[in-house]
Amino acid sequence: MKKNFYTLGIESSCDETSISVFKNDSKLLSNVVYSQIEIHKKFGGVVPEVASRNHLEKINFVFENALKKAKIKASEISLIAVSNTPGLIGSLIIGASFAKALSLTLNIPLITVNHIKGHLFSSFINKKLTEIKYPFLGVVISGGHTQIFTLKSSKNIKVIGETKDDAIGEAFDKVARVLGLPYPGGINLEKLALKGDKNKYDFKVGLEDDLSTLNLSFSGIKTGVINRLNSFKQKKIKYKKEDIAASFQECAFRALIKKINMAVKISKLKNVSIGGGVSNNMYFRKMILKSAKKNNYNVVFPKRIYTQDNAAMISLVGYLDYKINNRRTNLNFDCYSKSIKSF
Amino acid sequence: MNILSVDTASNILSVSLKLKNSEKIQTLKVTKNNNHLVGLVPLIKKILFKNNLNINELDLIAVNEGPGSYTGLRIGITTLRTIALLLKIKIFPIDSLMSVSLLYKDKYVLVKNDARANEIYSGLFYYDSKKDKVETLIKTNVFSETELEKKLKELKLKENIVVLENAYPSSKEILKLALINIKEKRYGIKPELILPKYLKKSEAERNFIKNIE
Repeated sequence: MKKNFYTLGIESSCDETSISVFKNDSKLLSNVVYSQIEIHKKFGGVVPEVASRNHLEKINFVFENALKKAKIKASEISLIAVSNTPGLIGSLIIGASFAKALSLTLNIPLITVNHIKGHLFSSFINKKLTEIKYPFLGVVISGGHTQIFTLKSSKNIKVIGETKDDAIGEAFDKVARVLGLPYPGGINLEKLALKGDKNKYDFKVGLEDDLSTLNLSFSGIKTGVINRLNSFKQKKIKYKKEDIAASFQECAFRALIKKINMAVKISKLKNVSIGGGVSNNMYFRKMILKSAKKNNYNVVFPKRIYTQDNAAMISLVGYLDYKINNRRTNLNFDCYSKSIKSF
Repeated sequence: MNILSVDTASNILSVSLKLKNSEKIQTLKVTKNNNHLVGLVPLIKKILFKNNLNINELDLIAVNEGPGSYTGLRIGITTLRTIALLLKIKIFPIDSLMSVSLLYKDKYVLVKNDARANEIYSGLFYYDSKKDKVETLIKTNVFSETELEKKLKELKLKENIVVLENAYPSSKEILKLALINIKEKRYGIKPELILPKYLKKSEAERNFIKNIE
């Protein structure tokens, strides 16, 4: 009988401590996520020092649970995969220290994974690797990232478009704050928007209509919302928060989908995989599926639980890089807050 | 016992090893690159390799628990705690200030390290070299300058005090203090119980509490 190959995934780039166990080439046995969202709520956003302290306190517990759920022992782990970029440096360091200690003590190989690459493959968690058909377009939308990629293989990955400033999720959080919604703003804004009129107002996303680039700029749209609200106040015009939320959401997604459609045309690729926290937004999913049908391309999303930061995607990519790309990492590796260019 | 000790609390990284049948404490240091995440595990590997020791032959791990650089402490504690957990051995959290006081024998040593925001991490210790024991006169904590002065006056010490400012131990002093404890039959704690000795809440939490008050 062939020995099973177990990849342990570790993710700690922001405020989620997550560890997963991935069996052979396609079976996820466990994916334990400890989210600090409740802890950061009172601060109105993620506080790096508080996040670091909590990662350190919870990571053992998360590890023990991931092994228990997978029904394996630490000594059975074959490979450690850990995200080391991009993210909060103090948070990444906890996962990295943990991973290094495991690799050293268990005497097993370790591989670092770019967190963004994890999101790019999150649609394929628990699927057969043969279902990943290259080349395809990858889109990562979250509180920290807004990028469009071409993936010719699991290592030939190039950015073809991105935000020049704020990430789309960041714009959601900022507008949510202006509207007085509690943290996490993006999710609460989506809920509020359900009850609003999406065509009531028009907000512009920077570079939206610039046909020479796949880049976008989300920093101005927040100012656009603030200015509109201020002018309402001055002129004593009544408005509904729901309408602001719905219109803002519509405009932000409209701009993003325009660029994705453009990317499809330019690259001639017909398959698009979209991941990251913002891809959890159901309104967005409906909106892009409609557009994809009209423009004749396919879209795949991760299961909604894998849109948040998770170690399942890290173990999957770690496995791919180790087995298919033959990549290896030395134990003197570092962590980087900004995404390193190589994938 | 084969004992490994680590210090990551300051910008100098060090690891020490004391083997079962030897009195000698070996120490390796990295002074040039203060990125402890990069340096720590390779340095542990190196000291084990030099001594032809397999990691699972370790019996105890001693680590600087702080106070010190938060990031440094987290790297040291996360790494060593994980090793100890996997090896099912105990870990010894060693106080940063008490261990650095071992640099002076038979003298009162006051350690005063910057804790930012006009505060200091401080402690007062006396290492009796004959008894091989450390006496604590002021327990390591965070103080304002006036609070500390008041405490010192209350002690009414007649002898001179050695004052160490912004002084950090190396893994050698960490190991020495662990040995002193072992002689008194204290063998450390379960690894899952160790936490950095921050002594201060994060700035965000302090501000949050201030706003409530």
